[in-house]
Amino acid sequence: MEKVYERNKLLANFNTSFCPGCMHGTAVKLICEVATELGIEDSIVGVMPIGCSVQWGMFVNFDTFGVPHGRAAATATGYKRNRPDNVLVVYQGDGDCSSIGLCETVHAANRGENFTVIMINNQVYGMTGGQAAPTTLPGQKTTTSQAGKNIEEMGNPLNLAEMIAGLPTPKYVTRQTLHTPKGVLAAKKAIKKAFEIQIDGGGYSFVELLSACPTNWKMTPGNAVKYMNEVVTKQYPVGDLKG
Amino acid sequence: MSKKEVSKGNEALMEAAVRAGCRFYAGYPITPQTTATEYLSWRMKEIGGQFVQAESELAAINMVAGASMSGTRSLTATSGPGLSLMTETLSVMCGGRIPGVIVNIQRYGAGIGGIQGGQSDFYMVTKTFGHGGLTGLVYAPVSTQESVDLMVKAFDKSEEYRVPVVMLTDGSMGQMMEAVALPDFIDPPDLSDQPYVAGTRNGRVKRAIFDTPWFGSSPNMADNVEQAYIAYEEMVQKWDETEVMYEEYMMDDAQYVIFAWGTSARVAKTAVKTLREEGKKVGLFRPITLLPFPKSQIAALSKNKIKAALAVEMAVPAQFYYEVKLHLNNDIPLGSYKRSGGYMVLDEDIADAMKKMM
Repeated sequence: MEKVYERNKLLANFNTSFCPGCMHGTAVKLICEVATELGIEDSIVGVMPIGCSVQWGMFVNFDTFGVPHGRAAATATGYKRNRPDNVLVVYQGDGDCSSIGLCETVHAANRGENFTVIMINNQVYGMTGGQAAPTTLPGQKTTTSQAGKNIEEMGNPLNLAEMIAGLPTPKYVTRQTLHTPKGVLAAKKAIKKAFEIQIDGGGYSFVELLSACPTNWKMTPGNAVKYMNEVVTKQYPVGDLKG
Repeated sequence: MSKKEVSKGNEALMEAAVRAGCRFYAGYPITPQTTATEYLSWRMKEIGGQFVQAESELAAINMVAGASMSGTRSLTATSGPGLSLMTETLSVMCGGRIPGVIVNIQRYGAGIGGIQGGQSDFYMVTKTFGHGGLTGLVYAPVSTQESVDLMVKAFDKSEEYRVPVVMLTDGSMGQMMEAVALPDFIDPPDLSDQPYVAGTRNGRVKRAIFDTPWFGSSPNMADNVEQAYIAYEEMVQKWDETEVMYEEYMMDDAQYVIFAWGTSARVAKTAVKTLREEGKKVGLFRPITLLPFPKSQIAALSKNKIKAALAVEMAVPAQFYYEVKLHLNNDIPLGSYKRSGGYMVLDEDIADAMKKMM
């Protein structure tokens, strides 16, 4: 019998600890698949941030290193400048990347550091139990916006990909979604393009991936997908923003 | 060792780092550190290293941690307010056993404080590196010569123990021009086999190099963390036997002791000379390592021999004084002479303060 599909070798041979309906697992799998397709199994290195995203470092069969909350892009800068031949994947959540780490994120982008930032945007702080993030939608109920996010007090959603696309230096900025099969295929293509730019020494790339967090959204996985389709993608339109 | 040449303290120290094999520097401008950052902005490129002007001290120390995890000898320099920002990552580097050298060119006071030299960061680096209670080594040179001599050792020890090493100088030492013989060039070491270095693919996958030692022989994460911290404490305790450095000056027949470190010790030495000329049997005890602190050496000073002692520092409230008091025999009276920084301690004032205790 012809083998048509197998577990990617870069994925550790055990189950992830992500919640049902969470799309982190899909994102990690896509990164591994792209790395295999590009033949960079021996040069890919991952940055483990703080938050749910930290877990990815334990589920992959390549070197990963931890960083303090928000500092991923700075630590990555020090690493990649000295190991230019490795393909560095900075994997972060939206709270890590766009709130506490905004300064490091934007400056690394502006310097054009030759690595790829993949930001999983699920509009909440997942690991700490669903608090509001800069990405939380207007009116969205979270544990720190229990009556719904009031933009008068907490500000509008921060569209980080658009912000980074406004800088002259970054080579490729895109937002994709993981809630539909079509979206997953497009996300994989985007990750591949970003890695190819990095391998060619082309500079900074930023891939935002929309994900559901059914646990903290207090939704079933099915309803979370519907919500992404009807609400989330309206605030966060999918597509290439630059490059 | 090169021929002596006249150099500014900050620049000589940065050149010593280059000669010690340091090939990565990240820093954010802060007085009185700026001349160090300016020097390496061109010097690192000249030697084939990397220089990044970071967006903040917080970013700078993380770049240093990242460079260390690439296997590169790496350095940052800052002053008090910047060191406050760096403490988060110093804690992470201790926990993750990641080396790196941090030069703190001290200014005085809390908050913004003042840009002149001071010694008020003593507690901050000797008690805990950020949250969590872990520490690295702390060197406190007295002169540009001693600082450049300690730089190679700082990198070596940082890698030997896999902890950050802090070197404390101060604004006056950094700006001072003096004759210095720089150390010889050494090649950067190959650190690619080290467990904290990622992406070298020599043998095994180093999945999840992380600041908290969750993973170990036990399936219980808390057990692994506790075991790792017990081992850490044992390492730090051993430093009391192996890593302590101090200078004794005219201590052989001394009946009175002046304790001082860094720039204060340099001034105190003049006071000792003056008092000796007056026939007073005064000596100087100067810790070179503030961590490990020369505890047993201070405790060994005999009450039968030493009649009184004085701790000198540029910090108000006193900090170093209390550390000395902790270890000095309780029967030896210990006085405190201090200025807040911004003002130098003066040798005649030190001599007067010591004489008042005679």
